[in-house]
Amino acid sequence: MLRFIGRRLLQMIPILLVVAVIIFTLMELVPGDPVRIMLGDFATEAQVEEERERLGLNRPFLERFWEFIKGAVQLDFGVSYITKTSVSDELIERFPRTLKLALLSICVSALFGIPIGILCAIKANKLPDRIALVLTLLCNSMPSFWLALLLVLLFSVNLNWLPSGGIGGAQYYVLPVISSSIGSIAGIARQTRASMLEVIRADYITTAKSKGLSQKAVILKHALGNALIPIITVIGGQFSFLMGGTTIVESVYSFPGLGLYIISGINNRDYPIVRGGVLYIAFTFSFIMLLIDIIYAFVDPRIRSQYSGKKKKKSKEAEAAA
Amino acid sequence: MNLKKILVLLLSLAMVFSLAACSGGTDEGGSTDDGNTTPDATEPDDGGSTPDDGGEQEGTTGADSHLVSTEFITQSGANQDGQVDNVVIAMSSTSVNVGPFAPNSPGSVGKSALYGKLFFQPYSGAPIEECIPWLASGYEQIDEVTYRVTLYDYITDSKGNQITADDVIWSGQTSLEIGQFVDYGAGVESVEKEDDYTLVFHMTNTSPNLFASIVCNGNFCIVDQEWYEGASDEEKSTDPATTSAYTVKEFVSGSRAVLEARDDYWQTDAALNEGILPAYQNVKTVTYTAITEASMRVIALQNGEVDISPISSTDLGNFYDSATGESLEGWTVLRPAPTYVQAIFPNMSDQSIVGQNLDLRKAIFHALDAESIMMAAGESTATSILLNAFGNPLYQGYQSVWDEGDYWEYDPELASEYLASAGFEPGEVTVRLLTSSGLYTDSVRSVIISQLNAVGINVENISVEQALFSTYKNDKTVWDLMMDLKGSATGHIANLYSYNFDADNYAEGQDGVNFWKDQGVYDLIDKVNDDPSDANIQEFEQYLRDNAAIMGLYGNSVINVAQDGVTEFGYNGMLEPAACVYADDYVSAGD
Repeated sequence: MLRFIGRRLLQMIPILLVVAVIIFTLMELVPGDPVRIMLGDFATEAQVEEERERLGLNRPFLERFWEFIKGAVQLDFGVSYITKTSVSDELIERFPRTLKLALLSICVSALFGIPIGILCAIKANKLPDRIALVLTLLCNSMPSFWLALLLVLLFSVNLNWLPSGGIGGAQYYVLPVISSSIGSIAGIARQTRASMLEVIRADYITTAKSKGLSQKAVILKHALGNALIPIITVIGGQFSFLMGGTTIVESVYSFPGLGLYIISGINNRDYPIVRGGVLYIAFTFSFIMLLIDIIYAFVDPRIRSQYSGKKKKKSKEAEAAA
Repeated sequence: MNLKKILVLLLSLAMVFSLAACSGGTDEGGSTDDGNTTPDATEPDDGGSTPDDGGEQEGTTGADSHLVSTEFITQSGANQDGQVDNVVIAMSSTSVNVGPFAPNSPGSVGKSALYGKLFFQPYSGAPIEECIPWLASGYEQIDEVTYRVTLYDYITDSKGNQITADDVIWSGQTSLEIGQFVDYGAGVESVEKEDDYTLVFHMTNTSPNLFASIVCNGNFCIVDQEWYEGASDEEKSTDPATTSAYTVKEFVSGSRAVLEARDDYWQTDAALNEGILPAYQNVKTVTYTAITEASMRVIALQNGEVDISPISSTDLGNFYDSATGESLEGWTVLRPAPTYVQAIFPNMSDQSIVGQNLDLRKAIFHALDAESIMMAAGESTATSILLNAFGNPLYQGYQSVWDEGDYWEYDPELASEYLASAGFEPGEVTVRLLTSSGLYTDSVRSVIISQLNAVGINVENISVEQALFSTYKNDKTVWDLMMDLKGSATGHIANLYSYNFDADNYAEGQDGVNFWKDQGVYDLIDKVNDDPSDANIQEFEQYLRDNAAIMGLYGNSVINVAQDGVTEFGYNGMLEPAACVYADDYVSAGD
């Protein structure tokens, strides 16, 4: 397993390198001059040129790319053209907030989504299933900005229970978490239902039932365990998405997370923010996918046995060679 | 129960939920549409700073005070005896920045309350004679382009560092080098130190208001060089050495900054502080909190989560009755005199069909109804004024005679005649309209397009985001007509002309904001800058009209709303919470 993790971590290096090349090149090609945005209309052409020189934008592409890679290796993504603050510091400052929001949201999603999915599978094509299906469809279709505004109007304006935005104590997370979770709950519930339906028709479930096991034991012990792989995949995908920053939710709730930061960088053609932000997202996504693969191994003995099987096979070969 | 019944039930539930959420919000709830057509900032781009001698002075702009609508405010605020514990101010960006060299953006908060300038401009565009010495104790004009400035010799920052002439020179130069103070580079030839408390400024030219625009500029934040060079990035953002009346108490990146009144503010002579709004301390702590969505700022106001907030002009109806001209109960509304000029620029280069044909330009201008465009932008007479020239009445040098005559009267028939004399049949010509999707709503574009279509001019709509807009507008091959907003860096109309039409300010071959390569206009710019007399200014405007080189549409500004316990705003072109006047029993939104 350790070898697998090590190999996957090494594989992340070329992935991040490719992402770096792509984002660096794309930002070069995207029209929009960051210096013009920064200096405004009153800047003369001479001042614009001077600033471009100061920022190093007139240097050759490869030279600048090499500088970027060298900095990125040391987690130094440079200084924002617009705010003049360190991009790395800002990413580090905002990361815990986004992580907290993403973790809370994914936990809420899983806590509601999986039981709803199981219920739908058990009661397949019956009333609870149909209600849940329509509800999940509704949740999936609901634009998050619309839901966010409705939640604010209800809980902040009318009931005055919760703050409408910002960050602070736990109460500031309630509405953003609900807004981020609703869509995920629906996705996880639908995936859980589909996976469970596939599993509960399997012969070993019939066998378990015929052995006189309770439905709870059959579902939770035998069925759910075998249905978890695709559910974990969906949860992992949702979590990666949330870790990239839920821009709309962050915007509505003025939540100073990574999504808003990266979007502001894109809008201002603030290259250091965009490059740093995209590399962060690529790394986070790769890392979460690695975690998902590791969780697979813990959840599914067949996958675990692949890793240990390879190890055993190699040790046997070594013994034979000796 | 069949599926249809379930669906009906669910839809009913959804409707009930929606109604429950929206109830009570119909007459109070905020619009979700940020239709504001001004930059989303509470700060003018000329970075004017602070105080005033107190007492609201509506409709006064000094030299041309008679020209400003008495309904709009240009300066107000007072020094209050008591001190409110805390006020919460909403800002529209999460790029919160309290550094001295932070850009003039919505996220740069309290720069004037934190960092002193040499002089304070009591209202946007005030000439140097009306500016109040702040860190400077006075000035002397040596010749047309040379000024001697003396500093107080007892200025100390919040960390006890002494401020000297070296610090002033370094602060200006650093702000320029960091890319925040382009006016300094354009306006200042050099600055010499005569002694520790005396400086001599050599300006590059004799443009009216140039010296005032430099020494009062919001980007000319004076700090101690030694402290800045030795401080860590974290210290600069969380615990900076400040030279104005406040310092930073708390800073949360991307979310909020809390400023606290300094007990050790260096200027203890109340008489010398008089009129300098950022140096007032009517509030113990000022909390700036980021609320990016316009509709959410309205909600935060209505919810009592913030005391003062900039709002979109489309949300004004929640707080202000345009019919009576009064704030609604519970609110105080600041409607500042319009500082921006919204205008239509024709591409005057040989790359554009519009630039080659004077009659076509006239047809376009007569086809456009500025009032309809203003309304489409969500503005009204409560928030904006229709322009009668390229410039607004707030500018020094604005001519009252312009308000008496016609200005590109909306006349579709005349427009059709000009189109015919331009050599085009209806529907034969197509112009490319460039706008920023961030600055203008689709309604604005729709109105312009439909009005041009009505006289037989086809329009190709090029609506792009702000970053792309800033590139496209400098490309003469992309557009024929452009809508954009302009301001004057110095507050003088001569400066507005200079920045937009002087070829020296643009890349070689571009020649001005709309690529107008014309010796006549260059000569007139020089003439106005050398002698900004009424006759010369009127001659310039007439030249613009004769050539149909630009069409001013409307002027607007950023509107602020406060809880009604805020009885008067501190304002000089930008909001100064520390100079607002609060009711005796005022309870802050933060409490």
